[in-house]
Amino acid sequence: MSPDLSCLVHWILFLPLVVAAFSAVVLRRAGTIAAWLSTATAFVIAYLAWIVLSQVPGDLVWHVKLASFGQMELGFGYLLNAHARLMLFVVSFVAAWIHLFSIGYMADDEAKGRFFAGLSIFMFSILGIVVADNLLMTFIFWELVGFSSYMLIAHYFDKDFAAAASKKAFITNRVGDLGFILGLAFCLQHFGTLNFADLAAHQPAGGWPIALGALLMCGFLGKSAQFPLHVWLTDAMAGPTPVSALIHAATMVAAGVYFMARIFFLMTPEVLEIIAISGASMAALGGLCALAQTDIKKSLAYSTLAHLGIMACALGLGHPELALLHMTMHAFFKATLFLGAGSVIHGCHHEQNMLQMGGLLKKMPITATAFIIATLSNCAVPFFAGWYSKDAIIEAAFHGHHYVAFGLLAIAALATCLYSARMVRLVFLGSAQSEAAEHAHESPWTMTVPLVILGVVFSLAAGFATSFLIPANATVSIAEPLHEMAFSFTAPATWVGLLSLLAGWAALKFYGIFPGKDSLQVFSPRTYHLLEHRWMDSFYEWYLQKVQRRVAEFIAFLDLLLINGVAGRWIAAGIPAVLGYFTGRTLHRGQTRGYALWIILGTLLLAWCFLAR
Amino acid sequence: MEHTTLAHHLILAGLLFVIGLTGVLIRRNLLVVYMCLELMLTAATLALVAFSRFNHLMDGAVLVFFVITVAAAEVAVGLALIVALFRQRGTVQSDALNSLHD
Amino acid sequence: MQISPSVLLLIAVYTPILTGLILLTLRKLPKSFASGFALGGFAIPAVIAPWLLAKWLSPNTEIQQFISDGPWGFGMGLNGLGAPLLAMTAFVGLAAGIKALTQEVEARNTYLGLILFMFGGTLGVFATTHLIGFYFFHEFALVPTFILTLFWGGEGRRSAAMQMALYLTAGAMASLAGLLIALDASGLSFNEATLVRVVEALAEGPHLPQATAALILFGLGTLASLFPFHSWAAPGYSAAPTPVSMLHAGALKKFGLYGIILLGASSLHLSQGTLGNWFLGLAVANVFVVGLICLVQRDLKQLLSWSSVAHMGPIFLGIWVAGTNGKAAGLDAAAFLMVAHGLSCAALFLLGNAVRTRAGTYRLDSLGGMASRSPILAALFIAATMASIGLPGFGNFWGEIGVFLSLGGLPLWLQAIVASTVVISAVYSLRAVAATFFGPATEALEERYRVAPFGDLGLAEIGAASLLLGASLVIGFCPSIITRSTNPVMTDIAAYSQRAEIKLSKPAPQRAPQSPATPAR
Repeated sequence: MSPDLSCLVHWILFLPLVVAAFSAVVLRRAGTIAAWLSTATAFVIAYLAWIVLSQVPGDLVWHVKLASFGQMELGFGYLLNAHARLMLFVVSFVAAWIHLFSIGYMADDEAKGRFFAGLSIFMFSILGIVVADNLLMTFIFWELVGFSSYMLIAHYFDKDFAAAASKKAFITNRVGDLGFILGLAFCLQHFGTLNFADLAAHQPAGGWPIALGALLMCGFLGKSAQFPLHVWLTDAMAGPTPVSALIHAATMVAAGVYFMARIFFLMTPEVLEIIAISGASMAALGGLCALAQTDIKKSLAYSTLAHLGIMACALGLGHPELALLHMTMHAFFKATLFLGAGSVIHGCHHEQNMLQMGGLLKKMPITATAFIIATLSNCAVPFFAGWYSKDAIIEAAFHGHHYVAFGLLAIAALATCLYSARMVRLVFLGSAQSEAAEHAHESPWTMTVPLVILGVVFSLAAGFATSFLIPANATVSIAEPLHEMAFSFTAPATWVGLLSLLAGWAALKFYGIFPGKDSLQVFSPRTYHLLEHRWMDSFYEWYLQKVQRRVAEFIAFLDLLLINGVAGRWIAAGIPAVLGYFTGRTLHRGQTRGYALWIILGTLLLAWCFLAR
Repeated sequence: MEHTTLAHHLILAGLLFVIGLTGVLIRRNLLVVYMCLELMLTAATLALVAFSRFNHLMDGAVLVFFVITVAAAEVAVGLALIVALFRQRGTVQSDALNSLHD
Repeated sequence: MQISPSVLLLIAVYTPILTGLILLTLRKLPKSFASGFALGGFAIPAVIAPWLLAKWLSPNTEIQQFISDGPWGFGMGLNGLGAPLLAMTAFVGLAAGIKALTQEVEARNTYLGLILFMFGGTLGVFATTHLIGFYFFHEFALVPTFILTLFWGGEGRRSAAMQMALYLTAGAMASLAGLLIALDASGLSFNEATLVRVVEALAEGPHLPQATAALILFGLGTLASLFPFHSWAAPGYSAAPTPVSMLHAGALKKFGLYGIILLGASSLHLSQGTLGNWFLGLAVANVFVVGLICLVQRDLKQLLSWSSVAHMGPIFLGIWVAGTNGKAAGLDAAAFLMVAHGLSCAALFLLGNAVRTRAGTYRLDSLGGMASRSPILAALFIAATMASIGLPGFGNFWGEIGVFLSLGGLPLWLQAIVASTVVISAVYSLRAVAATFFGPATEALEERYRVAPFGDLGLAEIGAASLLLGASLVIGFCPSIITRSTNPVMTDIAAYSQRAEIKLSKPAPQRAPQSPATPAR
């Protein structure tokens, strides 16, 4: 790798770390300075990432040895192939605009310094995952991303639910990391290396072992909120909205998809099958559950779950490029949606219940426009950004003869339009349902500019951009399906799309029937409850309280009783007691007989010792 | 009757020793304990004489004189102590002499 | 003027001991004077030891430069494992000393003097070359521990001190028996019996019976809280005064592991046969069972004490695995974890005590919402917690991940049980953090704030905690500082453990003549 390019990557990676340390130690009180410093850094990084992206293609590699445990080498290095450079740009670009948004959103927050230090640490961590060249380094930054998420969700730490949510996120991620660690050990044991390039070069004769793919997949399950480790994502909405936008929609959860695309060559067909079905089911379920949420952020969280499921399904069907493409598009429009939600929440003075909003189209026109455009992208309306990727995936399912996945994805597409329409209807159309919505006003420029850039420009045009503007050879594997897809209207995906759009238009009317109430809840409370109840969370709660706590208390009790009690006290006291009893009977009575007895016994013992040699 | 061997003498000495030892451990009267001690010494003497005879050496016999002298001295001192003890305590039963009891 | 490293080593070890002696004899010394003295006694080793480590790592130094004859006939010198442990002990000792100086206690000079003795003894453990010397220094440091716990400890100190004394003395006796048997088997005279020479002599000679290996393993293991002889640790650390807990859990406990690695792992075949299976089982139990016990703790200091027991498990496993496959990776990782755990454990005890002095209690259900009143304390405590659960960036991560990676040959279910500590430790640690710092303040805390308002951490405590966490960050970012030092020693030890194995097929050779001094680096 040419020296100046590796230098660039050093800057990209370590600048946010330095800024974070500086902010945390020095700028705790000077929140505004910290905010602008972080944002400026983010834009610098985005610019540098653009330079890296537009460079001459070919993998860029740099490696240094950190330390070694015996023969085990611990290395640190960069592997910048086409996927990495694209992801680098997407992440830093979206993050830069979200930083700008946060300046406006967190303007009256007292702990701004801490918040922006956290955002910078997060940047360091996610960029590390993107550029890493071996599994161990990926794991290191994987955990760091989990820590950043923990810190940022717990920003409002004096609320119980924020504290609980941050704990839940970290621990659930760690359960996935457990599988990741086992995968690391397996890989090292069987192949002697953790380096991506080395692994790719040495494909074993009988194919990769299934355990390797399955174990590494566990990390993906945790980070990208797939079943059964999806329970943390909705709770993570307790953090400030920019955090939800950046971490839990655009980048961190997508890091899992990116990782899977990077190690795609290690996956066996069985593992991919599982991922496909699990992802598709998640897509369908997530979309349906989004219909039963009244909190705007929670609804968007379920939407994210659904899209992550779509990305997982794409991976499982054997198209990692499509998954990455969807991840890119999703980053743009989902970030816009979250930022729009943030703008709405800010405008309505921190009201998050959608049923209390309404009629904001007139009060907050810029936000509404960006939001609606992003929604159209979400629903995969033709030629919007989301259409390119989502329909390509549905196509791939059909043409790959995975009809189960196709069916589930179709349901997901349908549900997407339904909940999107619901959201737009409840928030922006109709009339204001509360005082707060009455007095809503448009947000300041720091918040609307990112909305416009990400929403209007990118959610609309990203599809064009990737197919025409970015040189085809930079993202060659991604651009191809776009060129093929552009004008085929007879494909099954198109039919699914049309049906969904019709359903969406119907939903717009449906949800306007009862102002201030959810129409589905009114018409069919059972269905609503079915979708609203968090089944997996209840299961986990039951497990934690009834099983884990009881087992742990029982074991602690056993330890106290048997080891501390019996072994420690009884044996340690018992032996002296037994010995003492015998000596007491003969020796401590003050009788010469006893003394004589022990003298003779002692003599015999000595004699035996000496004579038995 | 065949000749007695070294083994016979040693067995006799051993028996005497054990009888003396048992007496020391079991009997309560100090004087009897003392007599049993003497019995143990006698047993040792017998063993010495037996070895001396069967190995055709004089060493054992000479040592017997030393043993007898030591025994005599010991008896003199010991009996004096017992008499003094009897004057103090009025008894020579070892059960009663337990002021070192914890 | 160049002071030679050997002289500096002597100064580092004996300054605390001499200072402690002065404080113990001159009990009427005025407070500020005594504080100055004590601070000097704590700080001087902390300045010297990192310098010594740096010197040790630089390519031009010879081992001989560090060797000298100390008083009491026990020679002083460093080896690859001892140098980082010495530096860690120095930092932990300084932090413990700062904590002790800020505490309000009766008979302060005696208290400080005894802690200085403990500190000096612990330094001596890692700085001496003699086989019996390192045992001697350990006992020298242990006796003040009992005295300090008994007289200056918290609740339940009498039974805790008693239990600690019984267990640790029994363990020490067993290990002394083992050490003496090893010394005898090596054929060296008392004066020549440096650790290194004994190890070499044992490696070349016939196998010692497994009973000796068991004595060493369980004797030294008790001192390092190996399951099931761990019951002394939790009540002991809970009841002991905080500087004592910091020094013991952080530094002195590593004596047992140091001995097991240098002596046991190399020559005594701890990982083979029945003993090896028991060792594996007990180490796994140490990780998993004690982890479960941590889950139900309701008192912050007890939680920290139990978690320090649980963290010994991966170290034992690293030692075990190196004995089975002859690769030094597990040993390197175990040594790394020893250093890193000392730093993080001491930091946690320090900050936990800061919580106690503010909130008046350690009980988790009475604590809550302290982050708004003491943000710096909260930030440092969370950092220390993250270090302890193995977040990358801190040293503990490298140790733990190294051990997990080196266990790749075990069956998958066993690896899963061992690696589950990652989840279990996160659960109980984060639960403690949330209960203490997050959420709204409890009524008990509000009440306490009205009666005795408290603020954030003072400069001294911030300094002490930052020292420990900073050191952990340094080795977290540059793990080669530790691995460059331990790698040569551990490679040799792993080779020894396999070399003697080969001899099983050959008849036992005669006692080899004494080899010239070629100490392993």
